[in-house]
Amino acid sequence: MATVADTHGAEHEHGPAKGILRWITTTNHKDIGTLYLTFAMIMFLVGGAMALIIRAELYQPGLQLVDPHFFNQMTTLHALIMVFGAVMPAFAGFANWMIPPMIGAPDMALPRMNNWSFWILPFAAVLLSATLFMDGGAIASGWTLYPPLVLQFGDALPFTIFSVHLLGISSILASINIIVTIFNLRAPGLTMMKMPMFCWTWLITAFLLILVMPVLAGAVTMLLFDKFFDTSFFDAAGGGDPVLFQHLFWFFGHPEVYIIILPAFGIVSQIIPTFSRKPLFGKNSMIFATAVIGFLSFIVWAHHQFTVGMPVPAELYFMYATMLIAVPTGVKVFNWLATMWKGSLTFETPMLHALGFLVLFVFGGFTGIMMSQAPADLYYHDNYFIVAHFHYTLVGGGVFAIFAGLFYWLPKWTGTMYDEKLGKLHFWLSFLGFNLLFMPQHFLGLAGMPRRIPDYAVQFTEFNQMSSVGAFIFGFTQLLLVYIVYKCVKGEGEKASGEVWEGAKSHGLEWNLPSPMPYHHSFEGVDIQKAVADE
Amino acid sequence: MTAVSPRPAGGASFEMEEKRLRKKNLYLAVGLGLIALLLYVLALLNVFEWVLGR
Amino acid sequence: MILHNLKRLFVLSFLVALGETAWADYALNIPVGPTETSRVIYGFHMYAIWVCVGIAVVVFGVMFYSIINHRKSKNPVPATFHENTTLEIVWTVIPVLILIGLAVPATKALIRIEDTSDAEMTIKITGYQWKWHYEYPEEGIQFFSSLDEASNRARQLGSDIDPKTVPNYLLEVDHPLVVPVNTKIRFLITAADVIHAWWVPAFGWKKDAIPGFMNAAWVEIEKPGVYRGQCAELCGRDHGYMPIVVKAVTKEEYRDWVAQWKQEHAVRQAEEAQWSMETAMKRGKEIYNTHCVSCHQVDGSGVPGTFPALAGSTVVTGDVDGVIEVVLEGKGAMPAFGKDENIGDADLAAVITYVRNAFGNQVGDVVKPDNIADVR
Repeated sequence: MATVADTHGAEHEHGPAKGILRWITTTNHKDIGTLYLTFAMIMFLVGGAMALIIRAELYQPGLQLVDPHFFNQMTTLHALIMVFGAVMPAFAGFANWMIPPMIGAPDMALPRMNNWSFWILPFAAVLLSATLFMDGGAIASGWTLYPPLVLQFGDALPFTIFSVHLLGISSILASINIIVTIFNLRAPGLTMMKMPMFCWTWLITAFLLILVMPVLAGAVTMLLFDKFFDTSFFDAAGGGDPVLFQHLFWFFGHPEVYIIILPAFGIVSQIIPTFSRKPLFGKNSMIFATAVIGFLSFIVWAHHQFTVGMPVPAELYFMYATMLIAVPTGVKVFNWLATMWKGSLTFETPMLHALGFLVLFVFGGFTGIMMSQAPADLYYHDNYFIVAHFHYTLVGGGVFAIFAGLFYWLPKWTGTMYDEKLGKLHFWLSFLGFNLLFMPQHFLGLAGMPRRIPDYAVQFTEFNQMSSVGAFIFGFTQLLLVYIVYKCVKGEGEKASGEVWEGAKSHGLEWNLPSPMPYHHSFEGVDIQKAVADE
Repeated sequence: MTAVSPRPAGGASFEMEEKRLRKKNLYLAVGLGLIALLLYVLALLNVFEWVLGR
Repeated sequence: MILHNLKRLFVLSFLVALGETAWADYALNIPVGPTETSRVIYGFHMYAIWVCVGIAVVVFGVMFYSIINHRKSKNPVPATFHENTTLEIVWTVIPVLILIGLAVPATKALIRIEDTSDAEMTIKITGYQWKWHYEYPEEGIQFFSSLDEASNRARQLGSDIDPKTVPNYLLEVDHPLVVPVNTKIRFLITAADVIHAWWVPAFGWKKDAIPGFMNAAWVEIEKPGVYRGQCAELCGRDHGYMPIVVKAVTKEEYRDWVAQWKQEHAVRQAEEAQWSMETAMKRGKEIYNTHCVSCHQVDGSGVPGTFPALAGSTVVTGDVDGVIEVVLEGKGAMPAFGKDENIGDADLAAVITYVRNAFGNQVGDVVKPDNIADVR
């Protein structure tokens, strides 16, 4: 039991338990953070392998490798696994590792629930992946699960829905834990407004999760009822409406993309000040902007549905509301730039990834502004332009921030510096591979290639080839990441100091701790009050 | 070595403080869980159809 | 092969880098189509791009200036400022103004695009897995439009046919939609099974086809020509294989086409009134190629494990009422064709005759429309 009770100091010689049981029974936030990150890495490679199957098939026109039905299963599982299996758990891993040390807490507030919220995940993931081997294969409706199409799939459907339920429960439990930890376990003197941006963005993300995951769960439950219990929620013949599902789905789905990007904002807001050797510019407006983005995310969902035939006033409303999001997002970007301005910049791997994030995310933001224009969206909708857009925001934004955070905190976790040369190589290969992968997709979309097709007209060949080559570069580069992390965890490399990065002490409580942090009592022997006051 | 309490002792004994904290954690967690459950029930009851319907 | 492709890739990247438009096939941007709407959308798209380019120059300019001039080697002592209220208000207000500049014309354009009133003719479009059905209610014309045979052969897994040798690969249909130019045409768009989306890039917009609901959209084409598109909403296995071809012709040619269609239709009806083996087989083959071929395949061999073979099947060559029942009611993944108002008893009789007497099946009987009605 590694909760507040452990601060007695009576048992502080305890290390972690030995063997596999350590990981199954652990309630330690650091162990659970490691579990989350390891799980995310495995799922990232699994989802990535699926993406490579997609890109290999799309290398040239005609069908060479897979049946169209299997292709559709790949696009569906790739998205579900990447969103629910890779990116969200990765951010949950960062939250577990870093929120307690950032706010001066000894552990998460609800450690046993923490164990549970992680251990639901592998079962959900296995269930989801196992549908591939069922009669008729996995569901092939795209991750959006639109009825009536999704109702055509057989055995895989109830398992997929159950898996979505499990993933939702896991996220909600993790969110509850994060909110309670932040509200109740902050060190004395660490007021809400003094709290680091990463904690703030996660706090707002956690609220988003609690408010939208149940709606997704409700929507997929209705699918289950339509399929097996003869209800007609989404069947026009029985008085239902297939578009209702889309409203419910995107009421979840739009906040979901902010659930992915807000913690990314948080990580980048930690990294840029450290390597600029300057405090974060306009922190109060950053916090406010995050809250505004969180709020707006609930009232813009139907911009994913401009083509379903909504009344014109509704379309106009969703267009205006969507455009508004550009304002707080712009504030954030300008604040990061102002933080860098007249700083004393160095470009270690975390900073490179953070800058990569900034470039790619801003680019994705531009295409986002273009798509918020309803008349033009009638063209962009469901073609490769949108595919390029959301990969720029979710991979260029989300995943690059994960890379940045990983390199930033890895020395703090392991006590060993990662290999800086290989880290930089990983960044450049990822960055170039990524752009080669997704930049041509903008042109494909504009030229008229619809998304989710296994085969295409011959005039789309060249850009698809570039994209596929980029995909393989980006994909295989991630094996290098696995190697770098493995080497660092093994302790091969320079020993890292407590501060790790020059001057980092003034950028967060966690840098006052030794590297690695003590297993149980992160703050043993550290004067928190003084550290808080020093910031 | 002296362990630093995560909370100000504020005169009360540490044991008291911890009990209070646990209670506070529990209430907050249960409250948030109930909000999630409520939204799930609302979705199932199709309440969103009126709010979101076209 | 791979080397060849790499070479093409290299050449293309080179051309792109030069900004060369030497390769006419390679569209980089939204096409400027033959309609006002498409020009509006194109204009919008370009306007938004230039606005974004403007912002990008500023944002990336500041960023790279900072990266170059404020690096530690050039600026060892960092400044310490961390807020500036005026600046923060400025960069909140300016984006709002830019967005208003985008929103006003967008509102006007959207209202115009969605205004389907005063149409001179109406065409009903129904999406099917995986083909389109077009109906001209005023003329009494209706037909299915599905992927043409050449593309369909080439697109099979392991077909060994190079798609580059197939004209308009995946963008060609058996029966295109024929429409007159300079006429405001209202499309009523719906679907029979799952959600599809009707999209011809040259017209700019797309619209979802939703079962049980009717969406409206319109075009007024100014130039005769052939405009191609595809289904844009994932609709199952063959989502990528339900193209759209719109043939826009002059009003006179359109009138001729309508007359010709009606005449051919009359001749055919007369032929089919006798309902011989020959006419039933001919029509049956067409129906088969429209509705059955994507699962049961051209040669009736099906897809092992997923879609049963018809060739040599004892069900198909067995009791005729049993076959009719399966076709009417559907079975497993097979839709209930009897419930579809766009498929008549004659169509069903023809296609059942066809499957019982093709692919090596030789039952030898002719199923009549009355047989279907009896089983119903």
